[in-house]
Amino acid sequence: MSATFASPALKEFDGLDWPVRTEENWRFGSWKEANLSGLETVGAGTTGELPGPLEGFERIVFANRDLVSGSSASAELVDGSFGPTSRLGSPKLAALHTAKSKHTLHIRSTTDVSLELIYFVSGEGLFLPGVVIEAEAGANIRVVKRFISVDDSAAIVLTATDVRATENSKVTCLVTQELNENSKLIRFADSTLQAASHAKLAVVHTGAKWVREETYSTVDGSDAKSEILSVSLPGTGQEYDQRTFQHHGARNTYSNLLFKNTLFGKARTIFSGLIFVDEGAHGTDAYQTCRNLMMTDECEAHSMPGLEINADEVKCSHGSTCSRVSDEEIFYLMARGVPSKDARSLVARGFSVEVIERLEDEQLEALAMEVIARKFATVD
Amino acid sequence: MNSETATVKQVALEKDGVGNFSFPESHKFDAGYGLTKDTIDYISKVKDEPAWVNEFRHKALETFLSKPMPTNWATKDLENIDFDAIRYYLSDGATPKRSWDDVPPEVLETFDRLGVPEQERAFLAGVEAQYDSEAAYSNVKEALADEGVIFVTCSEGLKEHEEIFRPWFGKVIPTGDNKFSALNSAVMSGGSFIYIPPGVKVKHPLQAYFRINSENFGQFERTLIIADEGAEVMYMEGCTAPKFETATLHSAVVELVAMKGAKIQYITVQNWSSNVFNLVTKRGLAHEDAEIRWIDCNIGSRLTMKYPGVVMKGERARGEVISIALANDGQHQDTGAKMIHAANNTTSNVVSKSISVGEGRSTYRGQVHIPKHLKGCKNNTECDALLINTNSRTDTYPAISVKGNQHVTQHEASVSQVSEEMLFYMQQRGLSEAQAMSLAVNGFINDLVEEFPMEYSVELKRLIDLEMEGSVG
Repeated sequence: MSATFASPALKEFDGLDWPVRTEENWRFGSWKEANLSGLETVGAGTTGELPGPLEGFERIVFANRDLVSGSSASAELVDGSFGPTSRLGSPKLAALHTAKSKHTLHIRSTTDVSLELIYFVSGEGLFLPGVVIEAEAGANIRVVKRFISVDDSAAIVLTATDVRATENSKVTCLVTQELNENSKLIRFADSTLQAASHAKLAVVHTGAKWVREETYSTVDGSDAKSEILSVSLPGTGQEYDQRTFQHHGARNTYSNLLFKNTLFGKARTIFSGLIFVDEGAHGTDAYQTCRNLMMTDECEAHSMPGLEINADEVKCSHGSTCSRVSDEEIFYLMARGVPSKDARSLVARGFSVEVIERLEDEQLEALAMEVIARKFATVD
Repeated sequence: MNSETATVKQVALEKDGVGNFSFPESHKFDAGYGLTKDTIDYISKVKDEPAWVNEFRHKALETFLSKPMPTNWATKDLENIDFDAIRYYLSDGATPKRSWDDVPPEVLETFDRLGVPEQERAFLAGVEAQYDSEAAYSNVKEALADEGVIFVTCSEGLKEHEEIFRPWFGKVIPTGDNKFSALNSAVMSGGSFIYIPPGVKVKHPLQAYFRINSENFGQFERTLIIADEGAEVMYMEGCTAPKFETATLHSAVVELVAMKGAKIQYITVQNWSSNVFNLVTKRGLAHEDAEIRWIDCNIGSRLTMKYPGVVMKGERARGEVISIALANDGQHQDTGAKMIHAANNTTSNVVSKSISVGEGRSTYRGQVHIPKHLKGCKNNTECDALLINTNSRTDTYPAISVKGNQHVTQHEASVSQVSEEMLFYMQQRGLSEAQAMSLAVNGFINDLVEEFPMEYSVELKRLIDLEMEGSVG
């Protein structure tokens, strides 16, 4: 990338501060983890073993920043970052992406397209992938994005996605984060929905030692529908910090967020979500649910569900719960011959399934369940 | 009385020499505008306080000055408080007699509509300095004294009952808890001290009307209630009638201590006039099997920030916050609850209902904290908000921290408006739109209003009717 583009971004980056403890957007969060000062971008990487193909999907494979194989008529690699913004507490990190990211994968379509992006991550250092998904009128875009560690080194993945759904388009996106437990992931997931568009954005987190995810969904046209889904399965030594924002800027819009965390060992999760309804955005339907299933006595969950409503004639609710697998459920299964350990695992898996089913896409559901099952096999 | 007057004169003379304090008559106290070390020494001297209290105040002042405004999470409206334009201490004697002509007509009308007795009206409007509660409550007081109940002002408490007062004073809410608790600790005056001996169950609710104050005088009440083992008490503060107040800052601290098996209910009805910043810290400490309930109703003020809390320190302790907030044009009701679970099998419940009318804004902020290595803690939080007009606003910001899998917490919040069908149904049966709306709103908070003592709930309903007027159509 030419220096002329990067230098103002670098200047902006230098002028900003790393997150600090007192920032409301970092409440309960490990703000020190976000300090990436002195980190260099990662060099060329290696590819790992390719997962089985998804039928009907075009596959594009990256090893760190380099495109290794695959192409699509709907995807183009563009120089430089698309310039993500952080409205949830990490402008410095967003500026870092803008200043240092090598290229952006630009996906654009007016018809049906299914793409599978595989990012093999290896070596230490900063990896800054960026994706823009532009669904034009009538398009139906399905994207699977997988982050897979090739080795055990402590990688830092700072990734940004921007979904732009124009009128009457549909986007379904599943991100699976399968990094090793030495790595960090910082992810900006923005989406803007115009009238009568529909976006389903789902993420499954099983790996990494620390995840910070900022999801900002702007529902800007009437009859637009935004669904935000997440399944997290952290264990000892893992901390997932997810911040979300459902912004309703037009009349008769819909958004629904469902996050489910199953916490093992000494896992720690933070969820902070806000439904924001602009003045005049009447007829908004917005829901937000965060459920924590506590599997051990040492795990820790923080939830901050929020609402800011500036218009009437809206239907908004949020709910947050924390509990463990109920004794009755275990008893029921044990009475039918299922050992107690398996019973617990079964109930926990069933807990995640409710989120995955919302994808309403058999292929994506099967992939998500496969990633979840793999994690369940490693925890007790 | 004579000796007191003498001391006063003396103080007045000394002060005249030192600073720019001014008090036109020798028997009136006025600490002047702004807050300095001298203000504190002045208050201590006037109140003839022991040295430890003066020291406590000075430390608190340092804390207050060193703490930043909590604008990183709270409303920027706080920046409009001019701490130098506030008089921090005026004694009763310095209250200027206000004439009926100074009282806004809408306040007078409200008195009429609520049916406030003539004498109370004068007190509430600030025309009369002190509501003569002595006569009305003397019987109650006598009966209480027989049972060993102490019910005095806070300054009397710290002087005359130091052995009970001091061990708990500032323990539930430490000075440095927040900027405004530090401010209160520095300049506190007024408020009650109540001690209920073991096993005594006080039948009548204890009630305290606030002292009325003169212009630009922030109120800094300090209340400490201790219910000893197995004791029970209900305390009520405030009243449903609007308090005509030109003061801009009210910052109280209320501490409750419920010993083993004790029960405390603290009921507040806040209806300050709409120029008041009402920044209050309230917290209770519940020991084994004890129960603390905060029942809170906020109707008045410009900005209220109040998050009553319960620290459940003993096993099976119970905490509850029930709150109703009504925010009308120009008002921001920023209320909530704090539940700190610090022992096994403790339970807490928060039910909050808010109504935003016109351009009013109501906010719920909550905290539920369950630390490591505890078992069997439960929390239930429900927040419901009702929006009446197009530009009404409501926010909800809870924070729930749970460690371990032996607990159950649930939080739910919803926002809704009065349904068209409901209004249509009632209008069909001959109610005007305003009446129908009022009925619907009363229905929304009905289950909470029932928690208030009868006379309060009747007044509350009338008051809500009044607030709702003109909001529709």
